[in-house]
Amino acid sequence: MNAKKSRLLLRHLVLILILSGTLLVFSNLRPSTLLAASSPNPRAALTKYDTYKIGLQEPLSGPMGSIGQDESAAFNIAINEINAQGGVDGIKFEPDIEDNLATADGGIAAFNKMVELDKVPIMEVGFTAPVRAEAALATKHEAVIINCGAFSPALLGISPYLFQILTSANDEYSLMFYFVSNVLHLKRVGVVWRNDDTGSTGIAYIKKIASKAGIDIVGDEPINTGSSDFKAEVAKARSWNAEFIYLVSGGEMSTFLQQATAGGLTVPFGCYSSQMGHSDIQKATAENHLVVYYTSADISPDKYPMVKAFADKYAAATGGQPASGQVNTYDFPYLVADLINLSKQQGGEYYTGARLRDALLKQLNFTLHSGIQITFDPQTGGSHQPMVIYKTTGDAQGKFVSNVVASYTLDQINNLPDYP
Amino acid sequence: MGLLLQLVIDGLANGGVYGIVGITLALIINTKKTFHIAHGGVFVFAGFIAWAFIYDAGLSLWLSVILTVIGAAVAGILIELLVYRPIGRRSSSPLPGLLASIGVMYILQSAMSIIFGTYPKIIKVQKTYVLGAISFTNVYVAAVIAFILCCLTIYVFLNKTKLGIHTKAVCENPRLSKIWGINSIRIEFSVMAIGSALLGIASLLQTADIGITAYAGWNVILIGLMAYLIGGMGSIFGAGLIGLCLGVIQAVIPWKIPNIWTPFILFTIIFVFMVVRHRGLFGRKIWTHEV
Repeated sequence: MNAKKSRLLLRHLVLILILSGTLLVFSNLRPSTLLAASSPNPRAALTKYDTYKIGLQEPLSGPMGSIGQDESAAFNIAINEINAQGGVDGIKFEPDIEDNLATADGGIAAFNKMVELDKVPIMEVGFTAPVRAEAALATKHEAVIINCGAFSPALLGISPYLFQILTSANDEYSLMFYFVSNVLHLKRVGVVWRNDDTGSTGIAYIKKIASKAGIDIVGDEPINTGSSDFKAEVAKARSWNAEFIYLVSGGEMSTFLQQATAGGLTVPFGCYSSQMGHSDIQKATAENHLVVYYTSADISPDKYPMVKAFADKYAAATGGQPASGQVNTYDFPYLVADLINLSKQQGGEYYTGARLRDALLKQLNFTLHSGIQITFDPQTGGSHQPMVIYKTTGDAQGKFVSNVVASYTLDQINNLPDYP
Repeated sequence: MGLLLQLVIDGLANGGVYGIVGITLALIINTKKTFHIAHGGVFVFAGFIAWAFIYDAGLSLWLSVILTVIGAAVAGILIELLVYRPIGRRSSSPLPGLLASIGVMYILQSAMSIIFGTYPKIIKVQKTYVLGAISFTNVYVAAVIAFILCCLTIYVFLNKTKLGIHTKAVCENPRLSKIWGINSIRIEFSVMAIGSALLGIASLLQTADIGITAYAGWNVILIGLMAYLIGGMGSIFGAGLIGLCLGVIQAVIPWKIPNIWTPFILFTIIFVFMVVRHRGLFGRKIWTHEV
């Protein structure tokens, strides 16, 4: 009986050892390794391309879903235009649009699908949390991320494969606080900021520059991502007796503006448009009879006729007016087309993340399809653009008047007196 | 002090909505013995159809209110008919009903998100009154009045109507009431209809106050359940009163600290309270055996 038991025990031990060994072997294999084993090396196989796979990652569902839908519309307009003209040297773009839920987890899942399964070498990603989460993956997999929808300064320089064609939020804060102090001559400013990466880095930066601009921050209040009830924040903002309230980060800010008037908060507001979008700001301003100043990359249709052509198509598709973020998303496939042409000149397998990155770093200065000039910083992956400040005024009839009240060239932005 | 008073006034407006959610949820849970999570979905549904009646169909406000209340009641009846009743026939465990209820809530929220988008929809009927440092709107006043009227409606229903008295009997002892010949199926349909209809009013008030989003259901149902648990299982009016108080407490917490701390502090208070007095404030001792 004892011998039987010992044999049984030994069998179990051997079985456990075999299973452990098998698990150990497979745990060291990445999914990409497994895929590579079952399919030919994609780099070697794809020297002739049937299509150019190009990615877009935005929140297509959830509280931020509307923003992602707007970005998708801009992206699809560009893809359709390029493909209608025969693609890039006869090869058409194949769009791959994934929902990143505006979260780190959602971004990682979307990235893995795009890169590991769909073999997309270059993608546009929106929102700070997914961009930040995917930066390390982009380096590891040599896939280029072009960020058109997140402007947190925390994204600068975190991956050699991450580039931004969106003005960094710091530029927008500096410009607005300079404007408030020196043009509007308002000195008591309150700040409402979203409790996320952009908001927390934003309020820290604003506190640093405000005193240099001669502005007293009389109060600041964070709001939670996804909140929709801002009665407490409005009440607190009223108690500050501020002359101007600045709203950091988008998303919920149009809801905040909607509730401000009902809460008796009617001072001028400031914000930046890249995330909220012109149309949302204007709608909230009009419905609530407010005055809102907002910074934006200069996408004036007068200066850039292509922006006007795009805006008309965008309006037909969405019923709204594009913000700079949407213009940049529209520019993205055209930028990729430029990169393909540059990369192709070197021969070989030219449509890979590494080759596209090399092409971008070689050129650095680009005139985007919209006509906007952009210069990438090779150290940080960031970029600067000319900017404007809009003043939007709502009236009692629920209509708005929106005008550019200040325009700044790239040199002026870089030489603002209080720009650190 | 001006800020504190303002926060209390803001809290009363929220509390009115939470109070209605609490009292209607308690009415349904006590009758059906099921955690009716789909109540949050009905809340979202009612808010969006109210907005659609006014802005898409161009109906007048009062006609929209009536249609919304009817629409919410129909939603409640359909949930009973298509979800709870078939599940109740197949299983005596409350778990399938609970899971199905969560599913219905997700379905309704997702459907509203697909149809109406994710931006908040607000019914613009607010008129703001500013008295010194204090401001309030007509919707605030309506929320408090609506809460009182809902309490009165349920009180009259439970105490002055035959159906209501039968409902109380089903709440107290479903088996015995069956033996006495009370048609519990009719009672459950009625309670779902009345609870959902009154919830429609709460949803309308929120849509007119801060706007409705497709994902507002979870917050509302969480507060409603807290009101139900603190009020004490079995006490319908206790849940309503606690809902009102939770609105005020939630609003007052950010008086001296950032509002982002509010959920943490609010739920810590609730957690500690439930540990210390798990029967709730107005609950009876035997609730664990009943539910």
